[in-house]
Amino acid sequence: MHAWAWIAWLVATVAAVTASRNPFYLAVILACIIIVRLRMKQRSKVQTFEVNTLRLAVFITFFSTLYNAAVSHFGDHVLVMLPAKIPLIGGNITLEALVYGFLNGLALSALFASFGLLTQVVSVRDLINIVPRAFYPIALVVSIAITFIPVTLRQYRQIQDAQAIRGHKMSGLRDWLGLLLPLLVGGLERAMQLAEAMTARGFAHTNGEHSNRLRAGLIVSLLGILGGWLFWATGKAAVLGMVLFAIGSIAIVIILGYLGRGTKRTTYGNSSWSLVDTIMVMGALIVSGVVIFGLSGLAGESLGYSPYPQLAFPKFSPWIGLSLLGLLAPLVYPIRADSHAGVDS
Amino acid sequence: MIVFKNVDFIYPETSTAVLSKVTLHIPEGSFTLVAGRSGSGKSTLLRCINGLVPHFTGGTIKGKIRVAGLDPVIVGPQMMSKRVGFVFQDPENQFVLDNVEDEVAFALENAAFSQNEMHSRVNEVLDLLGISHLRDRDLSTLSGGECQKVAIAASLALRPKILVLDEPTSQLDPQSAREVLDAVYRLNRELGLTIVIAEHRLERVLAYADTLVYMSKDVRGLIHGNPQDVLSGIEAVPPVVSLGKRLGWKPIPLSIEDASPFVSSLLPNISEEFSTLIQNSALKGPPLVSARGLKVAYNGRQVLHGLDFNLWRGEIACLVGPNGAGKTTLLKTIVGLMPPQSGEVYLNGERITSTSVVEICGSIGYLPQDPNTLLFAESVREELMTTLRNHKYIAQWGEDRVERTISELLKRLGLVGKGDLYPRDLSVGERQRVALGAITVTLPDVLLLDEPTRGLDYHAKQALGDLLRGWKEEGLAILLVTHDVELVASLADRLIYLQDGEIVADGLPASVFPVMSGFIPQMLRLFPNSGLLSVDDVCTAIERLKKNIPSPICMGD
Repeated sequence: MHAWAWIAWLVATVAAVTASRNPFYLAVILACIIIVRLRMKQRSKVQTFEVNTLRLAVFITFFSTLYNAAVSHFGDHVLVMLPAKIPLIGGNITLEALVYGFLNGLALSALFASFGLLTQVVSVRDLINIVPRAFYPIALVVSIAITFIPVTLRQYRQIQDAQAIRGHKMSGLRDWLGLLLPLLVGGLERAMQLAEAMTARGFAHTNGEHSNRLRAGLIVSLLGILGGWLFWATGKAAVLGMVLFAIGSIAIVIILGYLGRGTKRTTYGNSSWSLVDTIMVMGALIVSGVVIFGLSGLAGESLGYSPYPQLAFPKFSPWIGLSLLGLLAPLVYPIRADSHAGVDS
Repeated sequence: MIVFKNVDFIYPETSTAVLSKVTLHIPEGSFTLVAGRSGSGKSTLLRCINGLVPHFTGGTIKGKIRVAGLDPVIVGPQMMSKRVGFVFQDPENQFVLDNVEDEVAFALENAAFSQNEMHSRVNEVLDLLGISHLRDRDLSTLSGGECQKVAIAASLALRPKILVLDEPTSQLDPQSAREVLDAVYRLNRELGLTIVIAEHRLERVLAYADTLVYMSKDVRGLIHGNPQDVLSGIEAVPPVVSLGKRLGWKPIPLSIEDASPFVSSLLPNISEEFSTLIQNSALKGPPLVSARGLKVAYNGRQVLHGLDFNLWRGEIACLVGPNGAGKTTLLKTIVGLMPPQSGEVYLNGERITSTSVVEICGSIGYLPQDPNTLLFAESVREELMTTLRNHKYIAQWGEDRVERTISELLKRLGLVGKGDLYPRDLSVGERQRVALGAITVTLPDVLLLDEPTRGLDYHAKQALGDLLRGWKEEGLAILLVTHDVELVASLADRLIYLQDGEIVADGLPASVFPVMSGFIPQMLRLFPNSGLLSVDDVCTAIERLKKNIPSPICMGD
């Protein structure tokens, strides 16, 4: 499947999750993500909701519920009242805040799961290839940073274990040194090794002719954006600020584009666009459309459900629920044993 | 193909030259092994070949270098990448993408090759390395050996004339290492590729090499030439070479195959004669550490399958097995870092399965694979103090005892005079010993060491062996996980072979080695079924049999 099709699916999922706190719709969205992940596992390396993911989802939901209940004191159904002298959490603990925190936790879990799925079904190369060539160096750096995350997490656990066997306990800020210093040094060493390996394989040939001028241009553009934002924020010369901001932004895009043209590079294998990809985009468009109409009130008010100020049973529109099933579009992809998901080269 | 003339190199902000007056000629199509102690400049020499030194590292270089007709100091590593392929020690740290085929194509994309040309080259190198079946695989799913083959394929995509490999087998088990080296040797023979490889474990590579470069910091400097000639002047050599030198075999054998004719012609029945020398020294009494029915799963995979295990006081037991067999998992489970699904761990007869890691590690010292994960303090002494402080021993012991313990330990570890140095500035071997100090300063009864010789040269390994023997004599129980079969042959009282989470064999090394295909030390391969594991064993046995044999055998003695 084409990387753009998956990006469309992700955008629709994120839009739906962020637009609604209706538990019925959130449940439908979560179910769609789980089903798609299970299906993708059948055809590729994608892991299902493994223990760690589930654990994280439970943690996020639990923490979000507690946090919102503790700091948000709105709502009519008071469960308990903490003394007002306790900073931040002092005041009413309400059922509405508890429910809203729970729904927020579900939404965050859904976002986490959908991003996790995207990184598993679309290869790093495919992600890099859909980025315009002007941004290739940045895209590569970002993709490397993404691939560094699991390695860094693994290293963090190794250091944590190593320090635990020395009796290390985290009781103060200074104790973090034992974890952070080896992690930082290890990360820098790994980054250096990777940079060395990439250089040895011919990466980083730059067009040096104009590089200094372009670098200076980038700095000036960034300063323009910063200055523009300051003018706008202080309100002293808002129009001038907006103009500066716009000019700086456009200049950065132009400079990066120029730098990109200077990068000689070809692409190995092209992902072809298939009917399945079209179906996925159609599904994503349906979901996105429902979100847009829903937020503007055209698809009923059920999408914008909120438990505040008084907890009420959420409404459910079968049409919206049905439309959200557009997120199941990836299921039309035929099952076959293929670990190279997302690539049809 | 590669010429160095009077090359000097100094890293930035240092005053000592890493390379000094290096003059060297590596012929086209040769298979060159670069050996030498840690810090002797092997990696620096290799990086000079493709221009990473000084372009990537900085520093001052003098002299003349010519590689495939180019000067890497002038043209730089990007240009040299078309002539020199470079493979690093840790494959995981050199991969840019997440898939085999994409990774191999990465260099071609950067060189702006056409799609057809890229497909043709990717297919070519995957076929050459025999890994076409892996082309769609995710890199994270590959074994260590497969990863290293992919790294080699990726470095060959630009069709270089030279392949440089920096300790490519240091993290591999013997079987995987042999597969990787066989593949490299095939490239050398079939394509005429010039191979330059740095390696500490000479016994793995010598059989393939036709040129040996030995780097040392002493007055002899760098010596190179025919391996037999170079090895005749070096003390730290593989067992088969050492035996050949001691018995005066000419030419000095580099491999078991080279040595076999000497053995068969001089002593045809040696294996049968010596097999009587295997002695049974079964340990008695209750074990200090034991595990019963250990079942452990990791990331959804069953790693240990109801494993039973014992470790006695005053023994060095070596745990070997292929990558992924469950060796590290067993160590982590013993110290409480990984909870078992079922089964129990006992220390001195007491159940410790639910005891905290901190409490267990007061009595069991565990050294993880990477010593760098342990080190963070500003000095060697502070590293040891930190462990004592964490375990609350400073108040318990008092200042005098703490000082005495640290001083004695530093002396024992060979770190006298280095107590105030920053640990990460030390050599690999010294850092390993600091890490060892950090986990033994509590004076534990048991030591669990995970691959402690990785990246160590012969001298550092020997020093570590002496240290462990000393602790063993004092009654410590030591369990050593390693891929280094020669170290096992010289050190182990007992050998445990773990495969797929189950103990396949457990007993005296001489009786267990024969069942471990691919994990057999050189002396036992030379004298099968003899029970002779080290060069000393062989020479002692020969001495004992000398009187019964008509012709003298130990000619070199």
